[in-house]
Amino acid sequence: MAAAETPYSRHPPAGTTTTALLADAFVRVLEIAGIERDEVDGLGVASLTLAPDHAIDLAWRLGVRLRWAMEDPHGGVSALNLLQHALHAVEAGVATNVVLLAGDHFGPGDFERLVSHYNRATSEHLAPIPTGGPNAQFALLTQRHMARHGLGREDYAGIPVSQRAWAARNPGAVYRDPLSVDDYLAAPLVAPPLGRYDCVPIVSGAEAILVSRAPPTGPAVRVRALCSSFNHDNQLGDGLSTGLGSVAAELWDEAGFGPQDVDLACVYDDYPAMVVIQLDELGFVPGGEARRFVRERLERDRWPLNTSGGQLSAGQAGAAGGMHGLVEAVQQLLGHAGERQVANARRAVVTGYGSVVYLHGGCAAVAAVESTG
Amino acid sequence: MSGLFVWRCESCSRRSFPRRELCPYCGGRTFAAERADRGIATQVTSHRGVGLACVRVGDDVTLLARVDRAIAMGSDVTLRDDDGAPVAEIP
Repeated sequence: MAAAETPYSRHPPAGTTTTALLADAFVRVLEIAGIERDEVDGLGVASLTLAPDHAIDLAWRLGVRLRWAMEDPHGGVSALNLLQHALHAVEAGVATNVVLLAGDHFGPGDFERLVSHYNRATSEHLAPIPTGGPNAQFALLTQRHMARHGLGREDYAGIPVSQRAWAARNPGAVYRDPLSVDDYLAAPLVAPPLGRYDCVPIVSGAEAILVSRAPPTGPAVRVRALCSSFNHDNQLGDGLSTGLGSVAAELWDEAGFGPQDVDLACVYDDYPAMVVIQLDELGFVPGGEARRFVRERLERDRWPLNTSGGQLSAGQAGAAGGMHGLVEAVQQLLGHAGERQVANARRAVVTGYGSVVYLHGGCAAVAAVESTG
Repeated sequence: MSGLFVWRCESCSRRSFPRRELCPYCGGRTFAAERADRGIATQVTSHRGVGLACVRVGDDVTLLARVDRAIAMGSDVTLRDDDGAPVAEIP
């Protein structure tokens, strides 16, 4: 695999389009991988603002002839879902070089329209309230998480604070200034208990991954295991599980390594509580003690979690958010992470979570990846 | 419209909201609309000036509702529909 990212922008220049951002990511990943456009025979795309275009329209704009094309609408898991199918395609010999793209540019009013009409349940039952997007559901979910584990707001601070420290070393992140626990706690509340630094900044940008069948000549990254879960609780639960818990044993068994062997984790960080929940489901939180995990592993040890700064500091470019962690993991495992390079990074775990169906996300996926050579 | 409707499965009698095509519990396909008048506000927040509550209705339905006058977490609430928006109020 190879990976690339366009710079993220909080205020993109006039004339920016989703298609142009995706094209930029496409060109960048080909350059990094050293392959020609004509060698690409598979294309997958995830974007919330590409409509009315589809993968075929993008293929035409990019001028690629394909044997395999796909798009995935499942928000935070779209990239890992595309990856799973791309791996099957190259393993089956259907395609040789598959480029997966994810990106979005929100023009005036686009984001508001998206969150009001995310799905039919939202249009019919949430937009009339109006809930105004997922902050509302995740504020309520975070309250449940706090009550379940006896946590206060300060117990989540270590997630955005430690990720901001990583973002300081990522020139592609939109927020790089130091953030303290006091800054975090003093920030304006968005939807209590969520404050400004619990919510992702919306940006424009795009990500790209190349999945190739050809045996790599140099260092490469292999997917050891990838597991998904869709609609695990029928929206009948409290949202404090994502479905990853039900696939964790299978993931580590297939991967041939476990949480203790992971050098860095890229965990889908739409909200800090979801980061804790996913890490716990995957076996990273000893005894499920969230407070201790955040204090000791993140604040004290600076364990490599979301080393790009994550969506909380680097930004969320719509559907690119689901590919952001995968791109970061690949860059780290290839030694391309610059100032934020994790020494001797060989194994990483990447998650995706999202597609709020009504009360909470309906989709989750996780990949265990490893460098070879 | 004053009532808030949930959907009672005619096979297993459990209720759903929003309406499903197949009952999540038993797979039944037919539902009867049933007024839901009361619940408990299990969590409360506000976003962009709009009060919001997670409301538990009996042991089978959880829904999101608007809260126009502040209510405390754990309060018993009455429910009504305001042009598609579930609204929770102190009785």
